[in-house]
Amino acid sequence: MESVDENSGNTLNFMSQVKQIIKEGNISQLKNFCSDKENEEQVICSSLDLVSCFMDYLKDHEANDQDMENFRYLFSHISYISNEKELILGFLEQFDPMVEFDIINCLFPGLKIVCAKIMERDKANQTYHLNMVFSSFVYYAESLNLPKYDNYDPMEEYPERAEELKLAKFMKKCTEVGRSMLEIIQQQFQQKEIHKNHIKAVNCEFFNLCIGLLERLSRLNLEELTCTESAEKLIGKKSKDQNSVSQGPHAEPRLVLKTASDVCSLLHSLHRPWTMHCNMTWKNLISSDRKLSQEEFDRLELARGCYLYLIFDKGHGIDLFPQMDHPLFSFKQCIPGILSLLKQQDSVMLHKGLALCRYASNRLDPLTIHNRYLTNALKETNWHKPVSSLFQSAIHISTHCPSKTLRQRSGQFIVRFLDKFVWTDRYNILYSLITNAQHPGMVGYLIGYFKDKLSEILQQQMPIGSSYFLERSHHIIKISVALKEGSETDLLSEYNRLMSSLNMLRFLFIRDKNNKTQIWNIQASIEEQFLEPLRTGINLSRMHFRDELKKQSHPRKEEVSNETEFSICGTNLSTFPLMERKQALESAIHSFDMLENISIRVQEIIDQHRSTIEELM
Amino acid sequence: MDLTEGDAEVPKVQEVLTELPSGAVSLSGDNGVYKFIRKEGTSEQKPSTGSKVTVDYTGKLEDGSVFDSSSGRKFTFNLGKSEVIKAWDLGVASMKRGEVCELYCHSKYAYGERGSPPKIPKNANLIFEVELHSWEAEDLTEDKDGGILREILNAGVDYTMPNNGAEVELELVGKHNDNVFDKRHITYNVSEADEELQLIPAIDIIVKQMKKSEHSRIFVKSKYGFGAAGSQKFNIPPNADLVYDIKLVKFENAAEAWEMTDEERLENSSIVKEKGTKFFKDKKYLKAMVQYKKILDYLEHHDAKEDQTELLENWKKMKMAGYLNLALCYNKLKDYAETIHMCEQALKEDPKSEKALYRMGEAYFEQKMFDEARKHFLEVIKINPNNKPARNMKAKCDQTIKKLKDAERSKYKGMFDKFSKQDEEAEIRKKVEQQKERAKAKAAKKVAKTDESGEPAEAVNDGMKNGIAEAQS
Repeated sequence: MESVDENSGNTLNFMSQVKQIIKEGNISQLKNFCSDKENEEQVICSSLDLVSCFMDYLKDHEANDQDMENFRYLFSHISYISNEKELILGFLEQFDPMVEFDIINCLFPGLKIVCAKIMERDKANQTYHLNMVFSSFVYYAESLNLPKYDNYDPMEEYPERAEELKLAKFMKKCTEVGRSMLEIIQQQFQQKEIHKNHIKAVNCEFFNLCIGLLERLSRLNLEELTCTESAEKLIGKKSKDQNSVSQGPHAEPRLVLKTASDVCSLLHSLHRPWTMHCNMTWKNLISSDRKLSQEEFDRLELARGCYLYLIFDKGHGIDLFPQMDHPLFSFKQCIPGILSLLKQQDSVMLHKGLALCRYASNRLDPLTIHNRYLTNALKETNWHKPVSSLFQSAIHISTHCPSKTLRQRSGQFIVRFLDKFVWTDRYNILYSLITNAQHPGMVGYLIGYFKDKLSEILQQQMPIGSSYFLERSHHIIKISVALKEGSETDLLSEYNRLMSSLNMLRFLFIRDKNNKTQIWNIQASIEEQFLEPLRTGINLSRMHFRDELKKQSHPRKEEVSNETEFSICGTNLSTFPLMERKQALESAIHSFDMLENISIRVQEIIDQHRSTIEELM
Repeated sequence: MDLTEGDAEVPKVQEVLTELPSGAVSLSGDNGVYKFIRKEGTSEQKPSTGSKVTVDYTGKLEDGSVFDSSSGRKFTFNLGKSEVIKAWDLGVASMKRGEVCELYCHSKYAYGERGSPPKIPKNANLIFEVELHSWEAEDLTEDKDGGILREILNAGVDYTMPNNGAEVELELVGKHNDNVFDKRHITYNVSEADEELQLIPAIDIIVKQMKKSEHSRIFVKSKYGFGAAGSQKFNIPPNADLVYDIKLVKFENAAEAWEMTDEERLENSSIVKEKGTKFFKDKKYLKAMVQYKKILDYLEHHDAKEDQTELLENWKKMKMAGYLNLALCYNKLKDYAETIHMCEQALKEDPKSEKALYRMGEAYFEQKMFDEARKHFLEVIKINPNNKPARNMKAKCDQTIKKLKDAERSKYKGMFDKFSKQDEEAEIRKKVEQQKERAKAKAAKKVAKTDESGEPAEAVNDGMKNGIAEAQS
């Protein structure tokens, strides 16, 4: 037997030889040297040093593919023969944000072996090891750059970005390592080598890993790429036959989708989708005994939102989902996830939220939701006013989101979602939305919806339960036709709202001859407080704009310096290019004409009605 | 769907499901769900609404194709809570433990006109084979600790449930060891019950989860009952578990913020603030918090314009009061993280609020974050140099910080001495190692020379020993 001194001497000697070979850059020789049976003991003794030595080389040099492969082999070889408890620390300390992913990628084959060994040999401390490994994974995943999706539009196809690919590759490796460990643990459990309580703690660690990965996935574009010609161009891929027409959906799904599928399937190895789609399960799984911080809670909800999107919109594991769920119950479970996605700024996340919303709400029949039911049912979550939060988020998206598609989808969702509520709630929600929505375009849109609902109610057969809506409709009419600043209201900014209000008035004055909506009771105040000041405002604004149009058509020198005064919808006219100024002014005058036409028509209908009554009297 | 307003046409399930086995019984008045028992249950008990039931199932379309199955992995859900299709809520509620049955469901009791793509087509009638394994009563506690279990005897109507402050009318019968100790018909406001009523904490928790006309049996652990003190009035011993039969006769919910004008919101805020203060004075902090939270709820947003300065001023003052009083309650309950959060919210409204800064300082002090606490007390003193409590607290912080520093100094002093000793030893050891290496190298050289010159091996060993001895000296 060798003495300690001799052994350390040999190790030092061995390491200096290794360093010498590395210095020469001969990695093939290094591979042969380290895997030589005679050096096995030295490799075991210096495994930690070897890992950091190899990693240092990789960090300092641009290794070619062959060298990378050799290093992968070396890491695996060391992992096979060395002490796993020591080596795992050596591996995990390399998961440093400063280390490039390609280098980290080299470690995975070795790490997988080490992790498997540790799960098999150190059952008592499995939870500790899992925590260490998974927190390193999540930490590194969070350090990787996220792709920037400028002007993201879900209708368009995007090639897989480099950052996306890197993250997807890394997460895929993480799930592979996770899965291999889980299989070992499950086997041990089946063979009754470990206790049920231990499994719970272990599951919690896996669950935390899945949350970390899902949170990252929520920030990535998870749309499938159908290989249309435009997409092919984007990818830079050319079909063999240049004249061939695209052959439908691309055969190979994107790596990020495969990764997402892997994460879902890892999660489903731990818990069934039915359990996972319930709100409280997640909270209980992550921490049953302590209150989550806001940050933790947000992260959890985002991960859950992404998971539900993957299940319901992308269909990952939908087969495992029981087919007797109540659509309203499922919708309720989806709301917190939807809300957490919709409150983000990123269009990719907003798209996920809206897609999930569409799926969950499309399953519901009209007139099936009670606001109080949802509010009561979601009391346990952090969302105290889920319905109003959902509407507010949707309104924010449809008025502020840069993507036109998302704006449109969000707008469509608002009215479709309103339709799912019973008549009493429809009224209350609509009243609150029209009162609180700041955007005139949105208010106009909602007034249009209100008019459509009144149209339904004023049919010969009134819908059941709609009397509440009808009896209170005059309140909404009043707030719809309010001119807060009288004749000085900025008509162009408020144009959409005013047009919708006038259309609604015209419709009601024609259709509601029997005064079911009580519109004829407030007709005098509508004339006095809305139509008259509106007409005055139209005349004043038109004159003002015509004057400006004249000035723009025949500019005089002294007036040029004064041009900062005039603005359209809050934008200074001088900021418009010269050619567009005239066009903008003409368009504005045309808008005033439109408003006037319709307001005159409304007035005519009122006058006709008045004269008919007078005749009758 | 069961939530649809108005009645749709009665489904004619028999016409559609022509192959109903003889002996199948209808479970719904409109013959929309039929049950055929394949295997009788092992006991007479049936699960009640709200129970968590565990079943195994296989679902088929009418053509016999299986669209879903639990495949031996038991499936669990809460009965009668509309978590599953209506046919299931009806069917499973009628089953006994161990029973195996077939449920024939008309599409109206399943997924109706829409179906559930891709597996269940539109207007599909479904057949489920279900085996009921077991069930647990519904747990109403927030922590799910089994402290309040409910068995619904009569499901209520509507989906609305009483909110905090709602006026409720209850019929209750309390039992301890099968003896009735309390039988009353009471009216009170949820979360605001008078002491005289002697209501156990569980009642407020239960009532907020009941529907109108619901009649339930509740099993209450002592923690949610009269606790370790028991009740003299009702002759209940300490740590006694209780059973209540409660019927929610009717209730009227407290007005929600969106139903009010700005003035009403302010007025109501002032009322609940007074209520909260009363509870606070009686040291009922949880109840006080319910009231103060209402203020924030009422004042979440207003419709006032910028020129309504008086209203906005009052609004701000009231909102501040809400935050600050809540902070005080949390502080009393030793939830310092929430105290800090509330103070932060108050500071958003008024960054120079002495009270908010002071309470935040207190919370940090209790969390033993003395530097942070000192910073906040200092802020208070900056704003108002005459604030005596803040001065006192700052002085207290200074003292504590000094004490801690002194303690640390003496602790680390010893530690540093130890470290420097260890470093010295390590340095010597390193030198010895180096000498050893050198000696080894020398010896190796000598061996090589001896091999060439034929000198005996002992001499080499001696040389090596000498080298090591030299190094050690």
